[in-house]
Amino acid sequence: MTKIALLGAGSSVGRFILERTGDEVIGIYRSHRALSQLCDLNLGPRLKKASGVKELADALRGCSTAVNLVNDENPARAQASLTELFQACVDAGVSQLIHVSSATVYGCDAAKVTRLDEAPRGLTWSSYAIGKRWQEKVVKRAASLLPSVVVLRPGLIWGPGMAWLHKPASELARGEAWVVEGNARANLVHVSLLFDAIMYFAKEVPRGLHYCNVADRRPVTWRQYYQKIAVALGLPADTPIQTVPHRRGIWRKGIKSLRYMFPFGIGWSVLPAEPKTLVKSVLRPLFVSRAPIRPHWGPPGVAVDREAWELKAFDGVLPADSHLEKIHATRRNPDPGMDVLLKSSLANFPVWR
Amino acid sequence: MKLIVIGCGAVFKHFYVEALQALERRGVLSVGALVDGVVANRDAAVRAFPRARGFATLAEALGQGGAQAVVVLTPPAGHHRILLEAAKAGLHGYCEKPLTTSVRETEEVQAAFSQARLRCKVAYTRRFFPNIRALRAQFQQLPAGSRHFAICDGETFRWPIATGGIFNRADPGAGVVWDKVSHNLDLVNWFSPIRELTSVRSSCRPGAVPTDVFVEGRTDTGTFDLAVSWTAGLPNTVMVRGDGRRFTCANGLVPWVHAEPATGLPPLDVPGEAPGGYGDAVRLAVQEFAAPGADSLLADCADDVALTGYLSQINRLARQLS
Repeated sequence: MTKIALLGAGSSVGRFILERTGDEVIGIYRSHRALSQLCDLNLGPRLKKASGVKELADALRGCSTAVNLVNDENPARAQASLTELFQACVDAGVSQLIHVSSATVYGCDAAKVTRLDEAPRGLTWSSYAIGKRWQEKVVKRAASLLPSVVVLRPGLIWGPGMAWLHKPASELARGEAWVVEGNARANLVHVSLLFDAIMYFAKEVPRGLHYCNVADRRPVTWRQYYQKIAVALGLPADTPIQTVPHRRGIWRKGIKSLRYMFPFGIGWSVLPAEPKTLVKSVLRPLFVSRAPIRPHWGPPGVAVDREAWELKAFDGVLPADSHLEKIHATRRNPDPGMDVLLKSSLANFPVWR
Repeated sequence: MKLIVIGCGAVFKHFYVEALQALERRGVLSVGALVDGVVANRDAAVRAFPRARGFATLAEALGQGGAQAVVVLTPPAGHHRILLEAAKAGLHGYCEKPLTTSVRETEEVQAAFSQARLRCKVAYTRRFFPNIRALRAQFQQLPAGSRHFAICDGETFRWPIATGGIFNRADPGAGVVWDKVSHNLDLVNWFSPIRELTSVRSSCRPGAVPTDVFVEGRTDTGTFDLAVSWTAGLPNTVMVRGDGRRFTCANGLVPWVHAEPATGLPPLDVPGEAPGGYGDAVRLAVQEFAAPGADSLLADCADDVALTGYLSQINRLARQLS
């Protein structure tokens, strides 16, 4: 039986996969805090703590596939951890690495998205996307070390416990939901489809380096997505979904984006939340007087952050290949549709009225 | 006030070092001894407080003499033994939440400190967030009987952690109840004393550590509900409601309180200085403990018996339900 090791077991995706598989999938985590996501599953024997090449190689021994779910917004650390993983795979005799990247690597300019295997060049201010891009560079450089390397680029992952479901649901529950003007389609992927894609490639083991953009089959726009979530939450039909402009003033855009640029970006990404709060609380009164401290632009009462704006403004169709069709065709469970999945995923989501 | 700090792990390093250093500089207190069984932790702590001495056990630190209080920053299971030892030695006690993990232990601690006429304080630091204080002021203006208090605390587990102890299934003090529910239940009790729990729900697996808990109950002035999770990204918010009005604030450090837009009320100005981080709340909590004549803290300790009772009940139910 193919034995699969999940690196980043404490992530939401890691939890989803470990919950639905047996002893053929083991989880590897770096920090004890990862256990907070997993400690109610009684997975003890299937979990290993490892960091560094030697510990990773020991943990990976006996596995045929390693799945990397780890990202780091610090580019140096993102590259270092992936380089270590490649070395550990070689040392442990692992034949395949599936690296879970992200469709955010394409940046915010849909027009620049052309080829599947081309290194993305689109502009982005998202530190998450930048970390993923650096990781993809490492993958490209080190791909020859292993017989099979697959780069999966899922869209925004939704499903039970996923941020891209809970974030919009929270906004709706607070009456602060917003979308970008126009009818941009939401590049979403249900976590079960990502799971199926991982299992598909672990079974097929295609030789060489492969890329696959994983996305739901039935596209929805952001507004439709929010409306469906509102229905699943049982919110009234007139729950407000505000519209924010597609373009912002170039100066404000430039100033705000400074925090993602070198050297500020590096400093900002390594700072823990506490000093960040301190810096913000010191700087904010200099620029904004007597205003609540919340990321705020767009219509009144709506908190808009730059990274989410970028994702919601992206309107493009990502290139697909034959693998995606096969993944959809060979899914373990039939897709019951977004409405049903939303209802079950949000069954316990608290809404105050 | 000269202190013995016991437990120099992640909580000490990330939340207490700067707070205690600031209070030392102001002459409020001085750290005399640092106790930790792990040599690396102890050495790092002594580097942060060069005038203090490091010890492997509390008994050794007590042998040094001269201290007036103990600051307990160990995992919950050890609090009871350490606090009793401190009370026996005539030291005031400041303890990271929760005080203990059973009613019996809390009663023993309370009895020991009361009989010795010593202070005992639990570090419920969220009481020191300015937005929470502003919200409490609004809450008290709502008509009694109809006040509703609600907390959602679902931010993914992010604070630094040095051991896997809190996730250990065999430990009754492990799990989200002792970690997050303890903070939030204290807030409920602080806003209005809890009268009873009406329901406890949990989504955990059999025999596992509770990671998601939903509690409903009644207070002296109305009702409350509490949704707490390690795994779900719930909206991290505190809300009070009554008389057709609703006020919300972040369940954290962001200093704002927002009035329900439908009422036409503007956002509130939050009084007090903006917090510089969790460390500021810790500093204020320790400062209150160290203030001369803080005898009212004996009453705080009395509250903890009831609170530990509710926490034990929630923990037991969450595990049974699972």
